[in-house]
Amino acid sequence: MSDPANPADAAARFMQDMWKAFTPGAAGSTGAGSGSAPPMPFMPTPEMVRSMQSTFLTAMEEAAERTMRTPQFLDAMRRGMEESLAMQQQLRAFLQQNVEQSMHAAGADTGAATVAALQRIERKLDRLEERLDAIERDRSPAAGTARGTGGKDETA
Amino acid sequence: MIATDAPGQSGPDPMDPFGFAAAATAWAEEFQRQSARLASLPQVLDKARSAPKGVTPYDVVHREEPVRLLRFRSDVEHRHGTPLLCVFALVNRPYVLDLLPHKSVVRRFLDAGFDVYMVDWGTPRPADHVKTLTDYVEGHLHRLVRKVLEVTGQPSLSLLGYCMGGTLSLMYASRHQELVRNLMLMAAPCDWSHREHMLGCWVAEDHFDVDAVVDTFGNVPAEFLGGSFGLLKPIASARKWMGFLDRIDDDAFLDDFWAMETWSNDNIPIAGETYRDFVKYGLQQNRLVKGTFPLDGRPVDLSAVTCPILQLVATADHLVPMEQSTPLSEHVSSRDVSTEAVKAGHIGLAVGSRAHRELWPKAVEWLADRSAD
Repeated sequence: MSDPANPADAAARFMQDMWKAFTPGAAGSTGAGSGSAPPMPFMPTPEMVRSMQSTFLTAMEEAAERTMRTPQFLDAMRRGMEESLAMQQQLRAFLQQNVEQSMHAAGADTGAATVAALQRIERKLDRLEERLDAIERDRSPAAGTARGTGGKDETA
Repeated sequence: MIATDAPGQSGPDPMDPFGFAAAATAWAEEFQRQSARLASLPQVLDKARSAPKGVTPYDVVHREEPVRLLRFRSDVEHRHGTPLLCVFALVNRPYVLDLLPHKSVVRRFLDAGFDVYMVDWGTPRPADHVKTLTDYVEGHLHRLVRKVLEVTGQPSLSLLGYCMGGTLSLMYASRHQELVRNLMLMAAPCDWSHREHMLGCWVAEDHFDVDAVVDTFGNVPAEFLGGSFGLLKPIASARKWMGFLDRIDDDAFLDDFWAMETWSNDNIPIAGETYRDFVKYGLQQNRLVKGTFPLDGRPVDLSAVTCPILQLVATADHLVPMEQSTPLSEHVSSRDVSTEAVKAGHIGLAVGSRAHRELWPKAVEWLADRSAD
């Protein structure tokens, strides 16, 4: 018992349709069944092969035309498209989310690195300042004391 | 030839009763022919690379990205005051109307003394997905029509619309009849009640959710459109390439073949909202002939069209069957409506040998008769 909703049955029907359309044409193109046909077995010529090809394609066309109009095919096409579009939407959402996350992560990393670099520069500047102070103190002990005192006052 | 096919012979050759010798000879000849064809392969590839995208030189007289207005150059003096504006569909490039010198609709009109313009819709940018049919008809097309009239100093022009471009031209004429002197429609659908053909089955509301497509993609991709059109005739492609292999040593055939292949693979996306409008209100709900197709906030009224109309239809059109075009005369107020049919497919109407032999001379004459100053 065939089930019209079963895709396997639809495929089987497609093959049956195609074969039914193909076989009479193929017999005609090889001359089989006609009074002038050579006794079998025979070797087909290129013309015969071309003719059979054409008959086969015509049969395929007719069968495809019928199959692509059936409710099963139209339903399968609709479902396929729905799934494909849903997958496309999911993929897009996933990529968008990933891009957002990546951008956020990159932003945080970049910020932290910048702050760290600034802190390093600050520390270096502090050390340089200390050295300069030390040099000035060595050159002029009196001024160094005054400056040092002043410095402490300023800091305080 | 095998013995059975020999004229005047009633039965098989007694020396070759199974036809082996004759068939072997035929296969040897076939092998030689195929070898000769293979030898011409480099030339085939050269021709593929050098296939033209339109053959008639033109100037771009107006530009509003991505749309361009082209004016074709010609040595022939303009004998008709009324200019002609060609409006192609939004889904392919317009140069199919000027594909090759011997298959150019544009050249036919230029040679007859017309001043010919063409709309090149260009490739919609991602941001263009919000453009609706109103933007195309009342926006771009209206501005281009006014530009043509400004350049030529004429009060009106003739429109030649192809496929969806024909439907847009029809809508435009219904809103601006005073600017359209003549309307020529090539395979332009207006009545989608005929649903027997494959595309009609596929796009029915039960089977095709246009909203989901547009909401997912934005602009509907060229691959989606091209792939869908290809699927309508899945075996035709195999047949085409088999025919190609049989004729790859034929120069004239190769010129035509590659020009056509180049055009048919040169697809462009379509603005999402325009696609939604056209498919939903046109193909699915058939609202144009019902007088309820919305454009710029009010329905399109086909009875407002009063100018002469020439419909050019193809009897073997699998995309726009002639039954979708011919009912137009029942809905417009024009008293001068003619229809010319040719045995061709949808694209054969523009590039087919039969169309250029039988149809286009009549079309040019029709327009010349109605374009006098």
